[in-house]
Amino acid sequence: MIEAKNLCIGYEEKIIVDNFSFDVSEGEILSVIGPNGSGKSTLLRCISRYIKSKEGVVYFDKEDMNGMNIKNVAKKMASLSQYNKSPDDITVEDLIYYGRLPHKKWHEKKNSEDMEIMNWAIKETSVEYFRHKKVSSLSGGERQRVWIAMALTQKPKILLLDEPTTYLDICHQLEVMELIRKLNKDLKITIIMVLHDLCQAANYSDKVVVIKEGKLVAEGEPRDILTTELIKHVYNVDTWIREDIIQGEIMIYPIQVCKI
Amino acid sequence: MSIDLANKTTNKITRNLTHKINNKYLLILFSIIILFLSIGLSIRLGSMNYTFSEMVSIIKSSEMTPDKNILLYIRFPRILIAMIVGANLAISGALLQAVMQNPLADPGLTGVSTGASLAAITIMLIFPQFSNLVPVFAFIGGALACVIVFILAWKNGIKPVRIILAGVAVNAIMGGGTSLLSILYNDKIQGVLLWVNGSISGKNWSDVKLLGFYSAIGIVISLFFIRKANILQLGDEMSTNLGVNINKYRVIISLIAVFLAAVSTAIVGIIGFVGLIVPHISRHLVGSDYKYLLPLSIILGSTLLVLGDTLARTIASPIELPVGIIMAVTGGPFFLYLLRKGQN
Repeated sequence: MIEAKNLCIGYEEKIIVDNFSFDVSEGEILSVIGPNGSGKSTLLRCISRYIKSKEGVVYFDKEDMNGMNIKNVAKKMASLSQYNKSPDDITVEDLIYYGRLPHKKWHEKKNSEDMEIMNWAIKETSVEYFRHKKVSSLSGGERQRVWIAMALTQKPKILLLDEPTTYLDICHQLEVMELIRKLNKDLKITIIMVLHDLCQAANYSDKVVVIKEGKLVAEGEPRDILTTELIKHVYNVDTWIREDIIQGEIMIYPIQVCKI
Repeated sequence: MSIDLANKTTNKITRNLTHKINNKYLLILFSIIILFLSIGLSIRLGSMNYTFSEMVSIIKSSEMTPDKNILLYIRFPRILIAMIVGANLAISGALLQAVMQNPLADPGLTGVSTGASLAAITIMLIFPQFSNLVPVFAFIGGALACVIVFILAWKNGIKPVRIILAGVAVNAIMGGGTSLLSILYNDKIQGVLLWVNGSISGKNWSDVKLLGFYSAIGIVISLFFIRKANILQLGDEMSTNLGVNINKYRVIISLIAVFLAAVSTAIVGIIGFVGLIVPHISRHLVGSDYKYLLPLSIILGSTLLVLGDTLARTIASPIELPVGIIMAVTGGPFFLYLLRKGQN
């Protein structure tokens, strides 16, 4: 569905992502992992078309995204950044409605179809209870679900998320991750996300892309590529990796920082 | 049981919400009434004071009395100019606040006022033979300064902080030029001071027509960008995600804002604070949705400048003060008050 070929991304002389290629097929969850400053967010921002690549191409369903109309992209792809800001006084419902705007001409008003889609997105993300509240009065986890609801009203085929669980407590992290899994399984939305938590990356994704200093280190199924050697190479940390016998979940425990 | 409770709470919130929406329309209606009251007050007061019945009989009389002359050819155009300029500056400020994603943005930030005043002062002091072309040159000067700011700020697209920095630099240079001229030509500075401080006195119907024509164009166009202004408030990345070309709309909306500020400055000189304070107050009253914010800013901007001009011509009567001074002197403290209140 998305295929990135030989991406070079950077500002002026500085290259942040270097000759990077990867692809994600329809219906997959892809996680991008790597240390701080490795270029994960930059890569995601390039796919969401917020930053232009210096070289290389991103294909969306085999079409070069550089040639695509930005509004048409917004009808198929939604992206949320790490910090999403909104005016202090906006209500949840008003914010979610913004997701409909790529589908509307400038003079078109909110209609019953929009309301239907909004109600559907509100239900999928379980934000009914505070749909009339101000976004600024919500907790971090609630706010993240509201933003995902907004992204859903864009009716995207693919959703890009930059560290969706950062700053959330474990309960809200779990809620958001389960929501992402549900969107992927039930609604067949392809997901590309940047994650810090290796366990989440291992257990929620079909495919993992590992990036270090802007370069691709490994790509493949989490079970195959997330090894102690790889993690040591990328993060400089010794780990234990265990598989839970009952649930089949992969658990990665950091033990110590390697001495150089 | 708990679902029932949840429903009840939701219903209550819904009711509060519809209440609030009605409030927004009510507020706008109320501000229109205040505007008309201000206009009424402004017609009555000045070097000559009239009661309402006097005004009616003066205007109804068929012959041209001095009183009728004052009302028809001095006071009416003056009030109209104040209304239009107030509206223009308020819209300009409101739009720039969306573009810069900063509630403290002001038309002056883009270099439009200092550019206009440098051009106007150059004409008035060095080429006084062209002094009837001051509005034209002021407009060009303001627009030019703003173009320079935007060119300097452009680097793979346009970011608010770079506009602000470039604006500060260009403002400093233009301000230096203005100061230099006023020192070199200090014998002729008297007439210039009135312009620099913004004055609506001595304006006639042809000024109204000129200003009204261009402002109407600008104001109508600005109303088409309400939705875009709202989206810009969500930040650059979210705007891109929602299919809005951020650089394109940032430039277009800035152009509208600068155009409105420049035509106003060209006719009446520099009037500060309206573009900053009015959208700020409106935001306090109706929130950040430009669907309400922009209309309310228009009305409040008009009201503020009509009242300010009335004060300017009555407070030190028979001397008329430039309205720009009134705005700065009353606006500054009021703004500080808002800031203090906002912190609490």
